[in-house]
Amino acid sequence: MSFLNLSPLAIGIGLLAIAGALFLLQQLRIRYTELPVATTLFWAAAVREAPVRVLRQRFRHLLAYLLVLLICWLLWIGFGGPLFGDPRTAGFNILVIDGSAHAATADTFEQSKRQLVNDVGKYGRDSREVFLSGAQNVRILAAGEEKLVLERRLDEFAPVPGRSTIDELLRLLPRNDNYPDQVNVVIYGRAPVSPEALDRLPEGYSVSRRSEADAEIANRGIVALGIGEAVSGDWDKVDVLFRVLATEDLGIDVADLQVKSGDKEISADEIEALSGNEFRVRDVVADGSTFEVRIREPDDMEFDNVAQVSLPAKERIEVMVGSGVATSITRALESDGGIEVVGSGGSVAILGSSDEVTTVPYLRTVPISAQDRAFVIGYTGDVDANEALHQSVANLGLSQIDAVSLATDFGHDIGVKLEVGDVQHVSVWEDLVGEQFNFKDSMSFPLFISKSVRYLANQDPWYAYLAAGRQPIEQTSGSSLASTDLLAEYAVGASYVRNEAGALVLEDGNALQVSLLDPSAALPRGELGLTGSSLEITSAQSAWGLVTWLILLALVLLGLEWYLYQRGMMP
Amino acid sequence: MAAQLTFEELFDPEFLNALEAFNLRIKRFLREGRHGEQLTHDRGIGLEFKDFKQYVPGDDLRAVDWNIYRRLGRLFVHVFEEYQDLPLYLLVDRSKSMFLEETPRVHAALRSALALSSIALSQHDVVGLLSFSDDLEMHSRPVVGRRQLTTLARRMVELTEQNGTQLSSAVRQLALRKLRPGLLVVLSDFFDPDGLDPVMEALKSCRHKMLLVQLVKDLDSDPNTNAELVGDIRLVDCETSSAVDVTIDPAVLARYRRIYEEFNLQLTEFASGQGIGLIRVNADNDVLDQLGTLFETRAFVV
Repeated sequence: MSFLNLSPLAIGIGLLAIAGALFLLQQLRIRYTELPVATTLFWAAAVREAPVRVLRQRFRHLLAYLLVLLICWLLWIGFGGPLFGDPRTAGFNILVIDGSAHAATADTFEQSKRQLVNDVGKYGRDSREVFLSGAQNVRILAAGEEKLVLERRLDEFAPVPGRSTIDELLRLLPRNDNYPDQVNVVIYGRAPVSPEALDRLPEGYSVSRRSEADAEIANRGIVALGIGEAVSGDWDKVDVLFRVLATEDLGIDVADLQVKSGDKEISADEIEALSGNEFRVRDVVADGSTFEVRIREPDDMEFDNVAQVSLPAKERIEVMVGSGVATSITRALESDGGIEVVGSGGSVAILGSSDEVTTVPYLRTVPISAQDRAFVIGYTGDVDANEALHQSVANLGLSQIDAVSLATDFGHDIGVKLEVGDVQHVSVWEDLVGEQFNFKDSMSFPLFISKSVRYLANQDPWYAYLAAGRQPIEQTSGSSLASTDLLAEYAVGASYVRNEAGALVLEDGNALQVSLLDPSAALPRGELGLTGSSLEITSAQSAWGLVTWLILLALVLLGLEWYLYQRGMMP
Repeated sequence: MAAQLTFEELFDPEFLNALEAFNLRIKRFLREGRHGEQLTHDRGIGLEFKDFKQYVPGDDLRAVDWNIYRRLGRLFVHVFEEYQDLPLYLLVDRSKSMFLEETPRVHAALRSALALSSIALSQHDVVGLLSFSDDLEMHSRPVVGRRQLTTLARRMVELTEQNGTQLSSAVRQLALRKLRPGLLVVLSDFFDPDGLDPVMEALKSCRHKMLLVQLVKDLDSDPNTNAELVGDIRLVDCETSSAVDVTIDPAVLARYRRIYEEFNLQLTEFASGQGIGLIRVNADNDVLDQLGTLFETRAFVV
């Protein structure tokens, strides 16, 4: 029972109703139990002196009535659990329990569960809903459902190694037309809420947090893990960078880390400590294995003690070069460590204008009369042309060409055209890559050649930085026209963002490692700026003391009434 | 209602043995005079000389004192004291109230009557059995002799439950019967619906010596012993069927106890004032023990 949704008038009416009911009860005739006795002579005389209660007898026992009334009122108010000063006096209430990595520290999640179960009964059944905000936001108690259902459902959940999605919930709630204008959101747990999410809320929404005081948390957490091209220039190797944060009482050192690339453990000597708790491992062989960073000693949160990333599988692309290929292209190919020029065969062909078109994807230079645009990109399959054009300009490096300057020198407009064909190909005016123009000398030329080859080779993309809650960054160029954008298949009209860390197995069997938590989960909030300080914190014990005393007082009065009754001092 | 005692139950060997022991106990006490032995006002042919009186026609000539006649010339006769047996009349209450409850009062009443009969018959006194409810009933001619105890017991077990308690009416009816003056023992709970006053009036008019045996139970004086007497109760009089609604609380119980004590006090004062014996026998306890103690401690005198 709760007064949360009752107006003061309704509470007053309740008190008056109790008084009235007790008044009537005092006057009600009772049903007697018949008992035969030897004589009623003495009883009749005794009763004559003190008649029994009858319906609507004269009201005589005022003090007894007042005592009972006081007891009932105290119980009514006490069990009502008034929450004085609570802003949630009306409207719809949405209770959100944090099930993200923030709740995985110590017994935060259990505390939140207890508080939630304790509080949920204080709301009217039809004026509250409960959400669990883990990797996704799940409604675990709809309006009208019983509290017992909640307890059972909560037992099925545990914190997940992912970032909090409360911000997303706060973004979506106002879009639900079923909620009234006045909505009170109460958050149970430590998950931070961004000021932006609060600012976006419409008028009538209030957000508060019910949580115990933060316990001291000792934690080290890996908050960043990414891959970059090897500074050494080795094509088949990558550099791996990672960042580890720690609470003040726990430092972080190379010796605290265990780093593995596939099954091979990387020695501490190979781990380079940079500034800002960042570390780097150079020249890791890009063989497609899993790179793992693990913190050796356990701490208050296990989720962020390990992070993994899938290394790219860098294989050289075999390219067959035709006889009529321009020298500038040949030089660009030779300078690319990921490309191996072969005499015959190969997965990609580089052709001059005089060479025969092959059945494998090819990059070809053609006379200016052969095509009306400088660049023609041929693709296969059912792909939206406009979208494909937009992405291909970026992915083939064409956006980095100084098209205006080139067009001025060349005397023709520089344009890109898409066409559907049987074989993937990229065709470019041969004069454009000739010696007389400076395109071959620009920084974008080898990039164009390199990306075109990889696009034609249909090389799988790899992700330099695949973190929970972050948009993935693809590293392979030229993937937009084909089915190589693996994660895009999981999103509808938006970039795919996975909230939960851990292994992600794609439909084609490829496994990717989604690592890392939100940095705020690794360290107590306040240190990273994403705090709930702007939220109104409501103490869970706001009226507990008063309720306890009210009920205790009622029990004492009940005892007094029993004592007086036993002594014959009360009817 | 409890069942009436059978003959075997009333006169069982255990009670018979207890009765023998009771008789011996009482005889020691009665050496100074038995309760039924009566020194009458009649002058007769007894053994103890009492006085002289002038001869009148009809006097026994054998009592004439011829020495006085020789000296004085007038006829005087010896007057002797004459002892007579005192009949014992047992008047047993057969109203419904005597048959109520787990251990009905009538059981104790019959055992008390049998005990008193045993004493009387062993002293060759006459014992008559009467009962009353709405009316007085006499069940047989008075019996005499120890052997008649069994007969008396058989008649007692035939006393079945009747209706109300009309003790005053029964006593008046008894007065109308020309019974030889004797000792009237009234065994009753005295719960007359009309109260004690008419009963006391009727008893005053009775010319017999009287002993009142009041059958009581623990719950009479302490209703708390009845576990059913809790809360709001409709008490129904087993004789009149009149109902009394009562809310049991300490105050009502206190008033009940006071009124019951006043009832007992009224009966005690009446008996004391009228020279009537009164004993209270608790129907919940052993009857012979109680009677023996009462005789030995002279708690009552007839």
